[in-house]
Formats: sequence, structure tokens, C-alpha cells
Amino acid sequence: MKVELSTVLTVLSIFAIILGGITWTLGKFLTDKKDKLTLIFEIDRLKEKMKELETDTGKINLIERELDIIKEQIKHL
Amino acid sequence: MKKAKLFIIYFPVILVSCQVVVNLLSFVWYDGYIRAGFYLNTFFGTNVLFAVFLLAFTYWFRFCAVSRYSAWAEILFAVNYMIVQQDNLYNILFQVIVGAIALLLTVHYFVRRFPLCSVALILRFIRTVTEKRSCSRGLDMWEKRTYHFIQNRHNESRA
Repeated sequence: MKVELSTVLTVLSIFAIILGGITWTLGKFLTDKKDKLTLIFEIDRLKEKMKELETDTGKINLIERELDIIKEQIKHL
Repeated sequence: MKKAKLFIIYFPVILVSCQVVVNLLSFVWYDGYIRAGFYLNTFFGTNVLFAVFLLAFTYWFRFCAVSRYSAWAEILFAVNYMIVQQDNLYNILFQVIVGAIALLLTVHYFVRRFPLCSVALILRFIRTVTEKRSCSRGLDMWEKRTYHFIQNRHNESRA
């Protein structure tokens, strides 16, 4: 069976377009996830800094809880 | 201005990619490759002095280090062309294989140097999913590793 060159090129082009689309979508999804992780890291860093503060522990705990809630919200965005 | 700088940084990579594509063209459409030979050679042909210039350029300017493998590929193309002296199948295959290896090494270098770029994120995701053989567990592992890289980047910027 003889296969035309144009058929091979068309099939290859379709595969390339599908693969490109999947890669692009995956890249966008993972970049969004990375941005969320960066925010979570910043919150963790803020919490670490707060532990170093020598002020009212009750207030610090309250803020820490608020930050944990924000972290959870970011995870579920 | 930033785009022009990016073009200069990645110029050897673009050139090698084009040369590989042109050589692949000879396999799928040989008549066209021969007919357009003059133009293809003028635009994408190997030049020893230019190859040496590219190599010196990528070593002299450290911000172009990502293109070093492609510059080496250009040198190898030039040396090979001087030895073989014909545009035969051996030459074309040599350029395709060496060019493909140079491009793979460039991607490897790029991913190691910029672990938070999109390409690195996708490759890490594929690796973790393959390791864990599960999409959700692979994604968890990916998150841990990416978090670690974010942490490292922060520590490096502070140091």
C-alpha cells in the first residue's frame, strides 16, 4: 500500500497540533499551581517571621489561623 | 529591547533548530530541498568563521550560556562539512543527530538553570507521574518538589 506524502504530513501536523495544545494547557495549569505555591510559601515565611515577634501570643495565634485559612483558600482556587 | 536581547541569546538555538528542520525536509521532500538549495544554503548554511564567532560569543557573554551547546553543534557541522565536502546522506544525518542532541542538551541546561519555568514544570510533572504511576500522587510529589525549588530560589536571592 502506497501512502501519499501529503497524507503523512497531514497526520503528523494534526498530531503536532494536538500535542502542542495539550502541552500548552498543561503548562498553563502547572504555572497557575506554581503561582499558588509561591503565595503559600510567602504565607509560611510570614508565619515564621511572626513567631520571632515577641508580642501578644493570643493575637499572633489569631493571625496565624487567619493565614492558614487564606492558605487553604489559595489551595482550592 | 527585551525581545531583541532574547533573540540574541537564543540565536544559536534558533539557527540549529532551523538547520535540523531543513535537513529533515530533505527526507520528506527531496525535490523541494534541491530546488530551494541555494536559498536554504544562503540562510541556514554552515560558516566556519560564524560558528567560531558564535562559540566565542556564548562563552564571552555569560547570559548567552544557554546557547553554548548549539554553538558547539555549529562548530561540529563546520568541521564535518570540511571533511565530507558533500551534501550527502551521511552529512544530512550527522547534522540531524548532532543538532537534535545539542537541542536536547540545551533543554536540559535550561531546565536546570530555570527550574520554575513552564518547560521545567511540565518535565517535572511528567517525571513525577511516571515515578508514582498515578496522576494525583504524582501531582502531590510535583507540588512538594516545586515548593522546594521556590524555597531554594528565595534562599539564593537572600544569600
